[in-house]
Amino acid sequence: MEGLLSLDWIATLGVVMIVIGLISAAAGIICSLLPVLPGPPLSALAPLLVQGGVYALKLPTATWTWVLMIGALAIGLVVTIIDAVAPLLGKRLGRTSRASMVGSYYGLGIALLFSLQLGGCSTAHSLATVGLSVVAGTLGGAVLLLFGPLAGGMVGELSTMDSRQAEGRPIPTVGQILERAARAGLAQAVGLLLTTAAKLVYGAVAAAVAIALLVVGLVS
Amino acid sequence: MSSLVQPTRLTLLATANLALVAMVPCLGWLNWAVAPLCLVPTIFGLVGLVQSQSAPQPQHPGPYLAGLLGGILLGVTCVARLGFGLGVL
Repeated sequence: MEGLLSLDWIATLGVVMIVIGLISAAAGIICSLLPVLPGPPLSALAPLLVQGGVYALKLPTATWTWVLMIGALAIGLVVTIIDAVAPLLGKRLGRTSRASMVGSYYGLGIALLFSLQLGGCSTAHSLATVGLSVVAGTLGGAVLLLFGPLAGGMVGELSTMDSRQAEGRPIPTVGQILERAARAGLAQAVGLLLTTAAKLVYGAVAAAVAIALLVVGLVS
Repeated sequence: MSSLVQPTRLTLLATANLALVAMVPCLGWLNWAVAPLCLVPTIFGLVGLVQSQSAPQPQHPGPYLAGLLGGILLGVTCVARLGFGLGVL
């Protein structure tokens, strides 16, 4: 009991904050890959928690480390807002439907999970040509990541196209319908991939900032 | 003649959800069930497309094309996933 009371609780809290910060940095990068999961807010938490942990451990902090932490938080806020607004903006500018957006989410999810299996399988099958198979798996995954949201967005757009057909207007031909759906799918896919790339880059930067803050606190 | 729009949409949505689950690593065996299910929206789409083209009151073929294309794409993906997972993983 005496031992427990003599523990430095602030220091323990600092260590816990640093550990949670590093976990949230990793989780932020993973969650950035899927559109529904909150990647950027998790990534933004990482520098905040690590800097708080360093401060709680009474390790030396400089003014620029606080500025770096606040900068990372501010960029995280901006990326979160862009992530929330981009699909609506794409919907308005690309004249696509909500179903197209949902379809592209499905496409991205299926393509991501499929490419995971593709990479793992191609590595496991031929240990003699690991390098070649990893390259093949990665290239296949990249092609799938481009094609998945495009196909999903196209199918989603097609599925609700009849509800936007104005009364009395002639029904377009199959070719015209497919062309319009392909355009909507492409708009959704490009928007989705751009926001995903932005979230991934921010996740990597926030993780790097969190690690840098920890290293600066430990070294100086 | 009743419209096949809603059945096509619903079966496509259900198949897409199941296919998403079946893509998860180690759940590849689910594709033995999901791959045949992909035929359902494909058939609904095909029948609806033929009906919409031959009906006296023309219907918009969008949802049927979605069922046809979506069913084929999901089916091909599920079969490929079965192969990559050796039918089990």
